Amino acid sequence: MADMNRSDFIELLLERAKAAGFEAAEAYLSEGSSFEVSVNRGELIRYSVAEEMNLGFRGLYEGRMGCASTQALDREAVEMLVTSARDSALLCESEDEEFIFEGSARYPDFDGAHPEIEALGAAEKIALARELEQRTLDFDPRVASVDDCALYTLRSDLRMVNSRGLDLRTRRDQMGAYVGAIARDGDRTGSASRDCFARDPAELDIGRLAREAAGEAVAFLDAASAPSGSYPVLLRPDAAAQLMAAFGSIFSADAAQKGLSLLAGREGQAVAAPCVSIADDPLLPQGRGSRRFDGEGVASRRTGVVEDGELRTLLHNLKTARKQGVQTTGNAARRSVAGPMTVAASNLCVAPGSLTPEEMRARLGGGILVTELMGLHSGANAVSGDFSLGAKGFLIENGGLGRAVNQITIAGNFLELMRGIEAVGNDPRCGSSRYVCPTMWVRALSVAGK
Amino acid sequence: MLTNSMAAPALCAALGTGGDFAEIFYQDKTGQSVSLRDGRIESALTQRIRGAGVRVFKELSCVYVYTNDVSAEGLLRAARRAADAVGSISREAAVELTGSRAANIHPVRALPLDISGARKAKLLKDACAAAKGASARIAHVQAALSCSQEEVQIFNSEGLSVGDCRVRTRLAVSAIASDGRENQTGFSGPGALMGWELFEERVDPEAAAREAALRAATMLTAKPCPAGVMPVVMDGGFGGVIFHEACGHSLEATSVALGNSEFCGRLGQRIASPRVTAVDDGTIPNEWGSLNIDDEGMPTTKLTLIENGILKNYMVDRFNGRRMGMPATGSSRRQDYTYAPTSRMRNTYIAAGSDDPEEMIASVDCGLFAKQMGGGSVNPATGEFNFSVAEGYMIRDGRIAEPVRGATLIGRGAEVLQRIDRVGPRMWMAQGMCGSVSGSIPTNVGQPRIRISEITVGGR
Repeated sequence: MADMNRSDFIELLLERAKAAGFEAAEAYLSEGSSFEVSVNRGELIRYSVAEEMNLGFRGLYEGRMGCASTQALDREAVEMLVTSARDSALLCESEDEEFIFEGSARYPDFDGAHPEIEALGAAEKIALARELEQRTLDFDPRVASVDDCALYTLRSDLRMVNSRGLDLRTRRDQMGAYVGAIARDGDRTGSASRDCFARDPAELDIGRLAREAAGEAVAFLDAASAPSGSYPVLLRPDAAAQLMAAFGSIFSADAAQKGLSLLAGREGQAVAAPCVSIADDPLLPQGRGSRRFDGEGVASRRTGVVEDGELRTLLHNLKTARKQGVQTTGNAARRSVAGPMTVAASNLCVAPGSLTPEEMRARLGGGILVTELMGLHSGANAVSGDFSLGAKGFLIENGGLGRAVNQITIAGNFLELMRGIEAVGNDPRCGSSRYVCPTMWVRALSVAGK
Repeated sequence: MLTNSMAAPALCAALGTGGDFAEIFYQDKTGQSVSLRDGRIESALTQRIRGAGVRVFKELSCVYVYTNDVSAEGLLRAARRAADAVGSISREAAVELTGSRAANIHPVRALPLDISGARKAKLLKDACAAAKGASARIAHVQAALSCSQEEVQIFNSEGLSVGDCRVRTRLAVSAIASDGRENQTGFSGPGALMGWELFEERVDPEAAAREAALRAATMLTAKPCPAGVMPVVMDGGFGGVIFHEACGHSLEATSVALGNSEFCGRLGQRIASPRVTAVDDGTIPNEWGSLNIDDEGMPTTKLTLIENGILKNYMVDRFNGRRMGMPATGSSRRQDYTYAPTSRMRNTYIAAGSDDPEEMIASVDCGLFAKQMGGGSVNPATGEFNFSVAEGYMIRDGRIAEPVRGATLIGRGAEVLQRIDRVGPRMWMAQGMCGSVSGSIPTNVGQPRIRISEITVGGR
């Protein structure tokens, strides 16, 4: 069966949903194109070009929400969506009130479109990837190869239409690059990787990426483990963001209402050291997660989550806000194009302090600078707050950076860690993560090594 | 579904600028998941994905283009875009396809999408009740039933035209135990390459739920694991994740072909203790990581990776095989059509040995018994791996003692394989999802109970 025109499909879908007895219904059409090239010794070992479309449908049937999605836009798909969503609504037993949103009064004028990214030709992008590899290899004779050296661009167009009058569109262009450097010296191997993300080709700093990845790979040639014990720790901004991302769900009211967050019911209480403030900022110009509206079509705005150590609010969507008698913070997130709806941060930002990383090292005297965490998907438990993770980094000795450290683990509890933050740095780094952190000084963590 | 008369012109177009091999992968997959929380069905979702990917090689370069437009014109457009990226010369290519259906070695009796929502809901509710009944400390239970039915077709410029149907069913139960101050979790996720008969032939949903609940309740009473270097006994089943991370990924051509694995150039050499024989097998009937054909259309295989400590084989896909000068091993996989395929694991296990499972604990003065593992990860270039222990106990004076939580094991693949000093007689497997360059795919890990003479244990 032939696919239909997008607008005709959506119109027919909402019509059929109404006829089938849905009280309200919504279509969410996500279309994107992507380009990625990965080089090795100048050869294109991966060159990928794609166009993708996904249509999500959700609707209220007898007060309950049903959902389904498709990538085929034929007439058969209309019937599949309506029937599957109705079956799914009839199966649901949740008594929470569900919402199809009629729209916010005003939307911020955030514009995610960057036509200059789309205008980049394939040859230019290949040249950038080759330059990234060459600069990484040229940094030091001990850099033997790159692991994955790639450049990508993404464009996505979103349209959200519902039977309550909402009709929103947004476009987003992004690009990024990453490189893994492998250094060898005799039988020793050191590796490090870096990625970056940009909304404008001019911001992409290939030289810095190459320098940092290659420099760190070479530094790790001399890495060794450290004796087990309790150490003061500086988390470098990228490592701090990794940890924050692993525990991001504790700020979700959805998780809290399900008994899955340690912060449930803690609004108004001190949950972190007074030097810690955290905000969700969907309008951050360089943010990976920046957007005009959330997954339910609610206008985006900044939300103070933790201020001077005190939990001000959790992040909400319409359902969790209604349950708790508060306003949504505009943090509805779709698990897939169809739903179900959950809650997620847009860009979760730890506010910078006043100290430079050098000043923090000088004050700390001796300890460990952690630059990378490993095993976050299994060794960090957002429900218990416990973490026990592989780590790499550098010794801090007499206020300066010492030799590289690998083959260690760090362990602790996330809430204890937040309460034990001594200071935050003035160096937040907006990388490819939706979590933006400065250097964070943790009073003490258990380290296992040799 | 695509026909040979749609695929052949697209393959010709894909080769039209000097490519030397072209392939089309088509996929139409409907997945359904029903989720329950604390006794109530919370959501049910049906998703259909459908698309095709065109892959073209020219010597050691590879181009991949995918699209949702699977009409004859859509395929041609994708093929031409791929060809444009390959080169600028113009060339006539001819492709003749001969069609077939893959022989099915994984029979399915009850298609899971045909099972009513009400039956699925009942199974989840029974599992939830069993979890709650297993311990008074269980505060919350989340359970989900996921199933999928999928048609794939692979066509290539060597004349291959082959199709297959894949059906998977999995239950996942997550229990949260709480004492009012602290929470701990337990997980159980049995699944197979089969339909609803999974719950009649292989898996008792209530038993799986109780297992998750008891693990959460036990971990609530556990103290933090002490940190240090010690002997570790790892139980069978999901314990096999140690081989998956410490060695398996580093034997995939993805790492080996580019010289980025610690096991490059080691074929025929001893890389593990003589007690270790390890296998990656896609042919085991109806197992979670099994296949009829891989995502390059090649019949799946049973591949010995390590035999009595000697490295025998890498896992090789068609593209990386060119660089390595080795044939493909039928283990090329991808999450879906949005990824180009590459060498991946299927059902990977350490084979049964002959050491006494009791003796390997009785002979340890102070160490860790890892009864159930969580997930892990590895950097193939340096061999550095890490994985977490979901349920662990101290071993003191040759006996299993108090439970401990928050243990993580780290090390280097080449070192830990040499330190396996016991391998038990009974191997079993468990299900997981493995994430890598070609996406997230179902894989089994497995092993008998084994012992590692010393490894760094992270804790507090």
